[in-house]
Amino acid sequence: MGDKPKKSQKLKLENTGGQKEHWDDTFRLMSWWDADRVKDAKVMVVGAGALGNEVLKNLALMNVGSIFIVDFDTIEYANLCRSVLFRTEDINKNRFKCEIAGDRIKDINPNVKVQTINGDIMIDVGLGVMRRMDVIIGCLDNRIARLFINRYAYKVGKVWIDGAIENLSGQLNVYKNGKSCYECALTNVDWENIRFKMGCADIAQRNSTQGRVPTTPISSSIIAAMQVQEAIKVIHGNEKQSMAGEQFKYDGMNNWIIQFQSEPVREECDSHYEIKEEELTHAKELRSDMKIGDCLTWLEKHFDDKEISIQLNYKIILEIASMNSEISHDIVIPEPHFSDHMQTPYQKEPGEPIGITKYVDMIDKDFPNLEMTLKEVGIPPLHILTVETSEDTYFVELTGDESFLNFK
Amino acid sequence: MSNSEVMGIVVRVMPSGDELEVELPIYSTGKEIKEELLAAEVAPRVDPEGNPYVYDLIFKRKNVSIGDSKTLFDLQIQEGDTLYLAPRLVPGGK
Ligand SMILES: [Zn+2]
Repeated sequence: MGDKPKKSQKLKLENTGGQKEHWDDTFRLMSWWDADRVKDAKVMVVGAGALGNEVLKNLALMNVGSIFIVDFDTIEYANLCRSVLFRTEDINKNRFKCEIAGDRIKDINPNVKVQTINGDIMIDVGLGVMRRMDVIIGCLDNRIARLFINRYAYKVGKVWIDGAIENLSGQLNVYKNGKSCYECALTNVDWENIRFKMGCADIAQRNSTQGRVPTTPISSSIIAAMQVQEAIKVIHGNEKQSMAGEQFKYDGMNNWIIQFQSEPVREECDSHYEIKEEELTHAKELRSDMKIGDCLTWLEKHFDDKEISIQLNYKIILEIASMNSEISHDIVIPEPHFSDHMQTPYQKEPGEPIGITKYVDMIDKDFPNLEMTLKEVGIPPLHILTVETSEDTYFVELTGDESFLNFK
Repeated sequence: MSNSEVMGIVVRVMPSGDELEVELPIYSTGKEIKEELLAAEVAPRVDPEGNPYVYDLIFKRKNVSIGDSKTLFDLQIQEGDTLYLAPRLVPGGK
């Protein structure tokens, strides 16, 4: 501090509300606190419910510089009793939880920059966005979202910190490649539940609870505080004192606290592939709003190979049929976006089941509409494409979307 | 030691707070113990929405979960030791 900035150096001014102090002056009294690291940190929070509210509040108070919030939901009255960032007037507004939570944490600490995605972690968040984060915090309600975060975080080599609460109980898991893995710990019972929920067309049915499992702001505050505590350690590069590879459970009713080792990682697991920096093509020419045909042409040229396909981890529906009236329709919709609401126009009678009669799980030059954009078929900005050529598999980032990451 | 040898173990059940004294064969596996406890209805198999609970059986003294295939003998669990039966929680409070 006190040094004159060099010519090439950007001045970073902190909003102190006219005060001469720093927001985090009291934290700077802690010998290990690195104010710049925290201010420069980028943290993704998936889920802006009870846990998410508390996590976001703590991140803002701790002066974490950039916060990326992902949630698909709107605010209901039932949320208010455990959501410190939401107010009665937020109900039935045409705004999403992630947006309102983002505004409120900026009210708390104007130094914090926020970006939000109203969507589903399974499909709507580019891997390149996750790759640019320092740590990912899961504040989720279901196994599917945890499974997908785990796979994505593993791919881009990021620690993810998972919290869960029920009643006056809570738990915390810190997943780090090589030390612990959510997917490795899944049992047959978990998989049955995941397969069942994956069959639900609607994002809300896949991702949310029906509100019959009790949760409290008490367990939420405790677990969220610990999630942020672990995130701060990751931001500081403190591996020694991190809880990675361990689990924590507490039961507030009985005052029982247990910390124990995570299940050992398995040899075989679908999550276990980390994209190494040297394996990644940073394609500045590619963006999610470009036409599929143009993207395939670029990839053909780049890899000097005519056999190019983009592999997907979801289906693109190409044809559906109303099952009773047996009328089929050609469509192009990513399956995770094909909600109940979108099915209604294809039902001849209300509630008529709609079946998928044709789909693809990859995109190549035979795709029925090469004029559509990558985004329209479910590939989000800054995503990392898995590209298969006749020779090998490659990872190609839509680096042309780099300006998408824009915290405000 | 023979398979029929048993020892007295204390099982604390989360979140009910029940504390049970149980006699368990020393070669019983984590899976067998959990199954027996759930069969005795010491804890629910599903949450209020019908989603399944998966349980960990945790040996706090050594900070480990007794894996499904590990036995009390494998983990050198002794007479009078305490195990915790704790559900893996899923909700994050929508
Ligand atoms: Zn794994």
